[in-house]
Amino acid sequence: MPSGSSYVALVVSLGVLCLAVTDRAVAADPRLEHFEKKIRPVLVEHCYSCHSVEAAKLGKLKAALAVDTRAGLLKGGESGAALVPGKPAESVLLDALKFDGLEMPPGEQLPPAVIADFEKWIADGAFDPREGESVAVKRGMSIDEGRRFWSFIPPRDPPLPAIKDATWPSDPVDHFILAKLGEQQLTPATDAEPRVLIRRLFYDLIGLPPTVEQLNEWEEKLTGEKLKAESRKLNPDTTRDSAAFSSQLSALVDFLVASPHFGERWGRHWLDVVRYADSNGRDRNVYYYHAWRYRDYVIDAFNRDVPFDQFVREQVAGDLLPAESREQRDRQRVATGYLALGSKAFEEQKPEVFRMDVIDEQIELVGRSVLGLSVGCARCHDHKFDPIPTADYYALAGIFRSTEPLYGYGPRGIKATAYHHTDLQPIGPDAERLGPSGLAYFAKLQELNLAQNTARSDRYRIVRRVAAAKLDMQKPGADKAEFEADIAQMEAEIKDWDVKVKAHETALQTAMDNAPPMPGWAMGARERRQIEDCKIHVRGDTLNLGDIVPRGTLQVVSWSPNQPIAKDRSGRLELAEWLTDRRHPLTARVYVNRIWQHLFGRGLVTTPDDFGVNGARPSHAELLDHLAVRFMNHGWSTKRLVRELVLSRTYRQGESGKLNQDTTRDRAAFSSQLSAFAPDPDNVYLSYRPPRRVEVEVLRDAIMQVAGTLDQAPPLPEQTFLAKFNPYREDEYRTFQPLFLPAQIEHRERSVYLPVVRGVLPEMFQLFDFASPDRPTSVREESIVPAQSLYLMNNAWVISQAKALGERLLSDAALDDAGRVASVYRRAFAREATTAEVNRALQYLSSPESLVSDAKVKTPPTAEQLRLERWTSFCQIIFASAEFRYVK
Amino acid sequence: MNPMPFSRRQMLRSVSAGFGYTALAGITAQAAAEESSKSSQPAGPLAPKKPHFAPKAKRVIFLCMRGGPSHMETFDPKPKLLADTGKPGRNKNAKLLGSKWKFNKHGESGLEVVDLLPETAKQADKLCVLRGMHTDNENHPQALEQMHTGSFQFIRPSLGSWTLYGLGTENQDLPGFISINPLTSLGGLRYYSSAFLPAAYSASLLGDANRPSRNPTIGNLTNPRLTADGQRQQLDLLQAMNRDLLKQGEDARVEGLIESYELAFRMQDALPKVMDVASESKATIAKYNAEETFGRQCLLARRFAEAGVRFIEVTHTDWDHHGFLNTLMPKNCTAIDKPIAALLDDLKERGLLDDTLVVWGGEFGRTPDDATTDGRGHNNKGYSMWLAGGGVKAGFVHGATDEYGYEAIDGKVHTHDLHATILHLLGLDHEKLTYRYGGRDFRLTDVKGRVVKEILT
Repeated sequence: MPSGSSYVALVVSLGVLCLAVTDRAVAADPRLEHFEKKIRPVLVEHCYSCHSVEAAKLGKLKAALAVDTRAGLLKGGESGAALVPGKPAESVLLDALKFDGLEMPPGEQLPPAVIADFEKWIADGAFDPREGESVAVKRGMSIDEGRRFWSFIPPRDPPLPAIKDATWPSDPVDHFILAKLGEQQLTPATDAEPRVLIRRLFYDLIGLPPTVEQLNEWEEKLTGEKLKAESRKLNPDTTRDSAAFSSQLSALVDFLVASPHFGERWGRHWLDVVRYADSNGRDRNVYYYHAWRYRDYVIDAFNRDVPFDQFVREQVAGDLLPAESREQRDRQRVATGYLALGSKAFEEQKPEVFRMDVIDEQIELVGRSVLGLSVGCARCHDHKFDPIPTADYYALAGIFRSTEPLYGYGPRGIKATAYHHTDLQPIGPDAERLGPSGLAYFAKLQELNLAQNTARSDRYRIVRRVAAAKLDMQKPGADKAEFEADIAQMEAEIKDWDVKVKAHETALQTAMDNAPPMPGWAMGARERRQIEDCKIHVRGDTLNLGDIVPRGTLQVVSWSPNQPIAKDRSGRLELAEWLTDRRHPLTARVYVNRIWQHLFGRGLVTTPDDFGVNGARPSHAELLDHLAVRFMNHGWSTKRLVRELVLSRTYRQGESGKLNQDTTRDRAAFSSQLSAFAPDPDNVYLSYRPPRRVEVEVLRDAIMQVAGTLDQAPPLPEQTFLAKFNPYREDEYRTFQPLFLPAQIEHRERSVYLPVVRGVLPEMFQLFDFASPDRPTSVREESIVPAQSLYLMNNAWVISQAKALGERLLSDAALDDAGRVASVYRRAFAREATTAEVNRALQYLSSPESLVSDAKVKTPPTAEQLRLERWTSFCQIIFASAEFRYVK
Repeated sequence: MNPMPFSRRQMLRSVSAGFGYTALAGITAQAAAEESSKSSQPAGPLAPKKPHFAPKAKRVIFLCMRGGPSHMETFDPKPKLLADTGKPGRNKNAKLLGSKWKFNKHGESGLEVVDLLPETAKQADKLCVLRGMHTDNENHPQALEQMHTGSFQFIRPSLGSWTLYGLGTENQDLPGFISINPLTSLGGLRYYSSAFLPAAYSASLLGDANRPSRNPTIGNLTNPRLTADGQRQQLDLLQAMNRDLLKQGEDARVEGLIESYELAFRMQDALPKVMDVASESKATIAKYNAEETFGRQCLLARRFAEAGVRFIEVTHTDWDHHGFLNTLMPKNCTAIDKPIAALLDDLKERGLLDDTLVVWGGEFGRTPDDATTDGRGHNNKGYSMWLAGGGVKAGFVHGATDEYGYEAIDGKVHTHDLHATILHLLGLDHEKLTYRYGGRDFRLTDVKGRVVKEILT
């Protein structure tokens, strides 16, 4: 570093040198003269501090734009190219100088003469002698770097790794797991007992506990085979399988995978990811009356094992896919409800902002749910971490801009936001015939409702004026007679309005009474009439538009030939094809990781919706690739993959690993020492099977199943909870809140069929970490708080279920109390109670009940009633117990 | 940091007869202190623990102003901004906008407070205003998350959870970390979660900011059919079954469940008592404006503080004044003014202010300019918060923003610094309060944070 004065001297001499050089050149070319005298000094003085290579080096570069080279200006920054030579009107730089949209330099606008200089300069071709590379400033990863990032390299099936114990694996998966365990000096746990395995499979595959009959049946099959194998003593190593045991286990898995409850369980996992809800949420919690069709479509798709690539294509572009039957067409139409279910800002009164917000929600959805990327981050700037430039975001935005979401009506009867309403998708045998008249009817209702509301508020305005006049009249000095005359006149007007309002109400009612026959309705999406590309919205601002970006997909995942999207197509179908192309590096990986997570409690990538730079790296990269390739090779079949995974030895492990044998482990106390003797506290390497807490739906369903109160059949469409309401009158949650809250108690169907009203989840859902329906959820929270304990200890619904179980047990005259206790253990825990446990329970059941005295009841409870109370309180203990809430 | 030199699991296993009535009897702050001094006695994860060094504050009341209150209209007067109102601002299409309300000097300290907060102004000599606050993110959810957990990218334990982890709590019958009127939407629950710390350090949530209530409570607090004796019997059997699982070598979550049931049981008795304000005088109710939601919540905060709750958070929403600044600012200020003043006064009178740290502020501040004349944008580069009570200078202003209020330029305090300072006041070294998770030692302040020594007494 030179000393202060010599440094200054150096700068000055360099400056002089520069001037000398430029002065010589200026004479040669008038364009150069203009640039050097009028343009360069301004750029240096006002722009370089934030927009130059030097600024970039100091980390001060703004908007990824450097204007100190010609290349930099042409390349531009986040708002696209800074200028178009010869075309001032298309040059962002000039807009910025004019404070039109952008404002540069910030603070004070340059004098008009200077701006005119720039305009002339650009019009004359923007002559610029400044050579040099533009600074390729990317805060995140460049696209080329991105293509070398692990998750953007297409998966290849790796060779099976070498392992020491070749007898352990039953599936290639086990080779990968065992190899890693070996590296960590870990060994797998022994297999779980058949009963444990049966319970685990029932919960994981269908989300219900086995009934006593099912438990006995399958245990006999599995144990019988196991015993036979052991008795033959063919191999002293009991961890080795017998072929017969395997085939019985496989039969059990087949039985469960074929159950209609499989779709309810696995469909719900997907519903988490796609933020499924039956209402809009936010400040206008409008009901989505037809959302359930999408929910049922998802459940059905998992039951029919629709290949995942097809499943994605249907949801993104089902309306554009060929259909061989009316049913298939409807199914595919319903599937696009995926795009329409998001939460919308119905209070937003700027149409463009509203529209771009809806599009943003769709992009974020596709990104999170299928790609495992936070594409939405590129809305306002190039992605800060991932190789997703803003342009890619707007390429996708163009596709959704050319797509019309069909979610039906926003808040009814409000003029300011009436443009929020959309059509619904007609389905059913008469969809073509009944659709148009049905939609016209909805429009008519909206119009009548608006007229009615307007009349009501006009009337109310006069009512308010009358009230005011009556007050003013009392003031000293008021001309009473004049006021009275005014009031009389206004009251007459009110009477007129009464008639008008009445007429509007009658008209509305008449229209409703004469509703045309309706087709079925579904939420969905369709192509917009006007197909258009989207302009870059600088910093996400709808008023600050940059370059147009042709509709398309992410550059980091592309292959040739890269066909442009035809002019008359939104590009949704092309997007769907791109997402599900075998060459796509993310789709299969992201999905198999989700399946893995649901079966093993933890994803191979622990950030299932972020496979980007900020996301976690896979714990078993080769296994993930193996599964992705295998999944695609096997026709993207969810059922097949689930089946194979649960038959692996890895899945069948018992819970006691080496870690759990240590009796003094305490996470809080010995956290720092933990790593010394527990190399794998989070079970990253899967050396055992930690117990897993059941999700809230499973807890609720299991309670009802054990209590005998669960209705296992799905509700018929006309029986869905929402069918009770008039979708026109009761359009928002707030209008029928009191009716909604008892839903959880009234409903006896499985939890997946409970309405998901955004912001007002059933108490139990809220307390036990249900997935927030506000945005895609990939991993549910797992909190343990006293409020959950209080719910299980004191809630009336829980007690009613315990009572139902108690009644059920007591009504079985063939059993004595010990038999009843044993029966509860079988039903709830899928195991036999020990003698000690039975005795402990009997002792509890025989001790006196301490009931709250009920002042309303005059006669003391009978012995029978007390007995039931005691059993109720015992059954409640079962529901509240850790063993019931965790699955080994 | 070695907060628990014994195995909780061993204790849980060894108690054969259940927790019984010793737990029911409740452990007052004093008794709990005695309990912990007999170090041979086992205790749960919430038992009081010794801090790293002598603390100035024993508990925290955090008054969270969700939405980002304007510093230019509360505690950071900007005469130049007022003078230049109408001139172009730094933000696009925005014009400078001065405060509609005057500031006056108050108390012996002459601390400047806006006229919208006349009662708070009377407490000026208790306040330590931080005018140089700044944080990393300018969006509400992220900034709120960072304010609570230090991180806006990852799920991390809340400040209150770290506090409990470091210090335990003084009353074993109440949750050690209570959030009144919590933010529950948009990932709000994360703000109060223990994340990877043991579940016992999560906040208990009273009410919901979506539906603010004068009587925020936890549902299902009373059993409709069993007496306390009957329920204790029931719980004893339940816990015996749960402990059986521990004997088989279950994981730490079962311990969490067992503790959660015990706390729930004790809360049934203790919580309604603390929350019953009937014993408060009419004067007190009036002073707090406790017939209104926020006043009641501040009164509850004081009652919880008295009862030995370690970390109490109260949320007031909404301060996100993009529009209607001119009407909403007076409305919000009126809503918080009396209650907060009463809280400070009351704590002082009861001798609690000396060892209670009161923290006031939002996730960020607001811009000095706006495209409208009736609103302000988000500003994470410069804003104000204040502290009062245990260990901070009173009637003191630290830091400054530029002449308009765009950015903190002097005495800058980042969210991490604030966290480090709060822990310091509680006797905890933010660099030593670590938790090993996933093979790494985590702390609240990540690798950052500086204790703001300038404001310590």
